[in-house]
Amino acid sequence: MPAAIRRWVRSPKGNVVLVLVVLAAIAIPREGAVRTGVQLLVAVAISVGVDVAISLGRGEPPSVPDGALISGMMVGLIIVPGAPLIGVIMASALAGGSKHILRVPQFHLFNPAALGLLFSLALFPAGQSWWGAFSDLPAAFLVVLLLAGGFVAWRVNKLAAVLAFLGSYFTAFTLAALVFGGSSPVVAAVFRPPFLNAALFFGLLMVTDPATSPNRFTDQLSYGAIVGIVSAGAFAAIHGLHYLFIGLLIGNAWAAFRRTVAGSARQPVQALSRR
Amino acid sequence: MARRRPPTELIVLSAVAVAGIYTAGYVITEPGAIILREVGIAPTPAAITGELHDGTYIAAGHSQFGEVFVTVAVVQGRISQVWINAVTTTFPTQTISTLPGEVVARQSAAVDVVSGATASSSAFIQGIEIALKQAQG
Repeated sequence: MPAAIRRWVRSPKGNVVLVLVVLAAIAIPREGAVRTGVQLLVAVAISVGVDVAISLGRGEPPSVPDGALISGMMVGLIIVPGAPLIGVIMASALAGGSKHILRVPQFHLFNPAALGLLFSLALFPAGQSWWGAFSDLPAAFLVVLLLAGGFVAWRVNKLAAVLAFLGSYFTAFTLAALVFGGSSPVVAAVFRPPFLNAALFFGLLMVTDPATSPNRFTDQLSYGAIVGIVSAGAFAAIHGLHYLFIGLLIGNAWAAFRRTVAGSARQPVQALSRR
Repeated sequence: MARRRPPTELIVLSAVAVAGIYTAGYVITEPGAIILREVGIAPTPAAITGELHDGTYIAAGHSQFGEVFVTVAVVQGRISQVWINAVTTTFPTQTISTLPGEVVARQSAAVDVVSGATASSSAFIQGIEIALKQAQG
């Protein structure tokens, strides 16, 4: 294996791509190779294509579009297999293009995959199944998801953000169950597959995006808590499945505020800055 | 420049605390989970009382988790075909894929709720009811 590829595979972004490939490889046999394969390929091709086209159009120096690759894979792994392609295309295009548009000079503001999924699925109802999070597989596969996602969170040093998110998210719903009684099937669903799979995938692989999350330990705690509490609030207030993305985008906005207005922008920008 | 990682003990303790909160929530919501698995939360659809006009009718049913979009085709006053156009709930379309056939067979929105996908079933039934009201319109 050439040294450049070896270096990339060992980089945080390379690690994320490898983990997503492993998750897809495990889930694809259950979901059907053709429709999931086509969906993944379309999502990745559109996301990477839009990213590269905008970069070239702006005269930016060529670089490996691994950020767009990750965004495209996430879109493909979250949208329900067999969904209308227009939803997949729109989400991937928004994911690939948003980071060039919604940004300050140093970094982009929002998680591209979350932004693309939130807006495209609101316009083109394609459905989310989070099949890449093993939502259609036995609950035992959650261990694989936890290990793979936990590795990514550890690698990018965002375990504090993950734990703050999961802690605040589950605390909010546990309190809701205590206050309103535990017999609500809607609240019960949050603690069980497939909603549990979605929350874990989201927390371990999307909340941890280094480009749109803070670095400082205390900021990670605040950021994770904001994402968790806003997600839970959105779940209660807005019916549907967009609550996690709403929470993440609000958390991203807070993190961007901290990095710019509040002066955290002096922190070094990591190599993994274009996901 | 390597960033300092938080102490391992702190991370482990926090993870244990999160697991404890999750477990408490899981146990407390077990009565709700029983309803989710077995009883179902689908409404009882009203019987079709009026004549159905021929045509194709599109409607959406809502649930806490999203929407189910359906198309109902009426030929010679009878439900001839039902399609699920899109599902925006977490449950994949195939989970409720048997329901359109049941609607045609029973000529009614009163179909059996799919265990484990009660929200999607409920949204499907609601969508069929709305489409049938259009057909009666």
